[in-house]
Amino acid sequence: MSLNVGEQLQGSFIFRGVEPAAREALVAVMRREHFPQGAVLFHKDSVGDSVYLILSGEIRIYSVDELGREFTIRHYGANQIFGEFAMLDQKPRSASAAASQDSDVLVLHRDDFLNFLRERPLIGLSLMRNLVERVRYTTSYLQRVMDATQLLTQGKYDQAALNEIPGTATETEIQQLVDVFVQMVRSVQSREETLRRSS
Amino acid sequence: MDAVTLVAYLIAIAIPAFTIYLFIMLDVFGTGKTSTILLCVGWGALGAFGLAWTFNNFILDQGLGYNTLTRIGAPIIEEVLKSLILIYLVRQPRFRYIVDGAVYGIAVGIGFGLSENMLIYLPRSGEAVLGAAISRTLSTALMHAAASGLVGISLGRLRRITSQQKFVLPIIGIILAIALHVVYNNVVGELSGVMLLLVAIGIGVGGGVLIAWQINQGLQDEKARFAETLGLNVDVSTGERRAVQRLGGAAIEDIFGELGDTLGDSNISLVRRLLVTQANIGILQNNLSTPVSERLRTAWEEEIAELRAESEKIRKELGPRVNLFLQSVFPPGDTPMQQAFNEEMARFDPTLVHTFDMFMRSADLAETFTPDQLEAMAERLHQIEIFQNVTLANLENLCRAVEVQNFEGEHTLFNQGDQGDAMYLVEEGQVAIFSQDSETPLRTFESGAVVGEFALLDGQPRSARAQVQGTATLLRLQRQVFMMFIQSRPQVVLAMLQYLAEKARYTTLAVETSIAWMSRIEQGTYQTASPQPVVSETVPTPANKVATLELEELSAETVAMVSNVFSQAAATLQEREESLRAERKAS
Repeated sequence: MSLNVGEQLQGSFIFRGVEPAAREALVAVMRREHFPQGAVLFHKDSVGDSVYLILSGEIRIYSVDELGREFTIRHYGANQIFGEFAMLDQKPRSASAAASQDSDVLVLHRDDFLNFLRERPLIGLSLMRNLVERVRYTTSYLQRVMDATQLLTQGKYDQAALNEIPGTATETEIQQLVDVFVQMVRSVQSREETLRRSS
Repeated sequence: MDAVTLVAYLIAIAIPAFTIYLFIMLDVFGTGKTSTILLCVGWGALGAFGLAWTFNNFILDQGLGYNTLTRIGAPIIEEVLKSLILIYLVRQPRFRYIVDGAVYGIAVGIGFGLSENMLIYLPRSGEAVLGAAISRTLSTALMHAAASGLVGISLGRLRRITSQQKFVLPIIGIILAIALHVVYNNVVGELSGVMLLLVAIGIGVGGGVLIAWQINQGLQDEKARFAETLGLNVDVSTGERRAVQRLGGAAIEDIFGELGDTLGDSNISLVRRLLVTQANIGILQNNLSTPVSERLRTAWEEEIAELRAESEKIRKELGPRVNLFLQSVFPPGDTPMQQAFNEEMARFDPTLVHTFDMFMRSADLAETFTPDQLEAMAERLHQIEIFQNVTLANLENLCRAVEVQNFEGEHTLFNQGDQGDAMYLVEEGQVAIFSQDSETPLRTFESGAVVGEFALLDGQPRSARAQVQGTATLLRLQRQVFMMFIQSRPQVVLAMLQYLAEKARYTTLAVETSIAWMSRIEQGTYQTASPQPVVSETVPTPANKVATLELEELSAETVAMVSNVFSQAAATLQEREESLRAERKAS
């Protein structure tokens, strides 16, 4: 099992490029926990300090809107990882998490991670590189999308759609951003063109 | 058998058994297994003794006098037979170096002495059985152990010698063993009672001293060899030594490879940690001779104390045998050896050794600033977001690497696309940032501001051009030096991770906000309440200015700005759509 789990850590951008032996060692300091369906892992605004790797089951991330209604932001399934930032910066959680099915989860607590880092400083540098890359990458995509949206407001649909935004990204988060952007340009264009034709 | 005889035999068994038990408990043989040591005892007690017995009897049958046999023949026969197992073992991986040789040799001797006492001397001593048990067990066992120990050591040293004359060593070992044995047999035969006991013990102790001396010699050899690997030849100048080191480069790997052979691979990661810890203690102690603030001094002293505690812990885990070896081969007092080793260690494993501090020392940078200046500079760095989670002591240490740059007139600090190799702190004057070919600055940094701190972390090409305006003083911190500094300091790496995680959080939030806005625009539902993170505060973006995301300034405001850009876009698009709709109605 442990070999498998070590590979799953690669699923998170933050642990990418960490050598297999170190991944194994990291898995060894993680704790296994079971959450029955409906159990809450953490509440929004609580101080976070751990990262979760789902072994089986499903975790729902949710929040509450202005009217007090609960809404689901996303689901995480087996092999997925969430909560990386909270482990590093101990900021309050931006949403709540609960098990939507009976779930088995591996939890890495901040303290365990710190001890681990002392023994293996190289991992810290890998993590740092990954985070820097992520911040730079996301920011540059976001900048392009913002610039292209400006073009859209000027009615330059084709230019907007082609504004140096690669169609595929390595991160799901970015891919979603790009996809939504392309859909937005297309539907605004078709809506406005329909209106123009009929007028 | 009466009670006294029984006690005598018990003593004859108990003393050797206890000695072997001590060997095993103290793990003095370390690399070998308990089974090897027991094999040696067994060989001495049964194999060697049995063969010697047969041989001696055969010689007696040939008419040689008992006296001559005891004085000359038996020592030769017995020592050669006892050595056979050592000659076998020296070819095995479990026989790693001299201390193994000594331990295995002593075990053989103890086994042989045990059988000799039980089967020859005690049955013969009649009424004096108890006295014989005590004097004989002690003295014969000591003599046999010492003699075979000498052979074991000579074989152990043999492993390390590659020259033609290598077989001289074991021959000297056996001759020494035989000589010890001959002297013992000849002297003991003439004596009795207390005198016998004293002399016998004296010979045994003498053998022990010989063994200790031989082990020490062997360890000195090891040390000399490691010193040579490190390029520490006495007749080579420092410059030549460094040149050789740079060319070779594999010194530490060689050393660890051999340490692995000697001490066992399972011990080697602990040994490595111990040596790194000691290297860092040495480096920090050197630091203490630099004039610095009380705070930094205390921090260094605390770190030294922590490292000492850690090295004590590792030593306990390693056990006495490995420690004996390490202390002889890497003595704490041998400064040139330590220094050469630290340098090698730092090149080999820069993530663990305080390379930064070594660099400061060798580059004579350490005393550019007074302690007061360093303290003030650290306080200033602490105000910068990227350093907010780094302790003041660490920042003060880091500040030792800062360079002062004075400028007169305009000067391009870096161009767009240049490798991001440093961070600048504006001490006096102004630095303006320009995009590609523009002549109007995007922004201007005044004194107290920091330029390009993200370059410290990723060294990516600069996204804009920076120009010093007029007379200015800048403080420069190079990325290379900064990386060197944090590599061996996980707590600083963690502070950087924390800084980056916060930044990453804001980019994620900004992406989520963008997605929420774009989905709404896509569906034309401009007015629907947002289910996504609500940003209360909006910063209006001037219509003529393009909203630019700065890595260094990612924050809640960035999210607000992004939200603002999209809400303005949504408003514009909605307006256009509504006017189109109105046109359609009108037509």
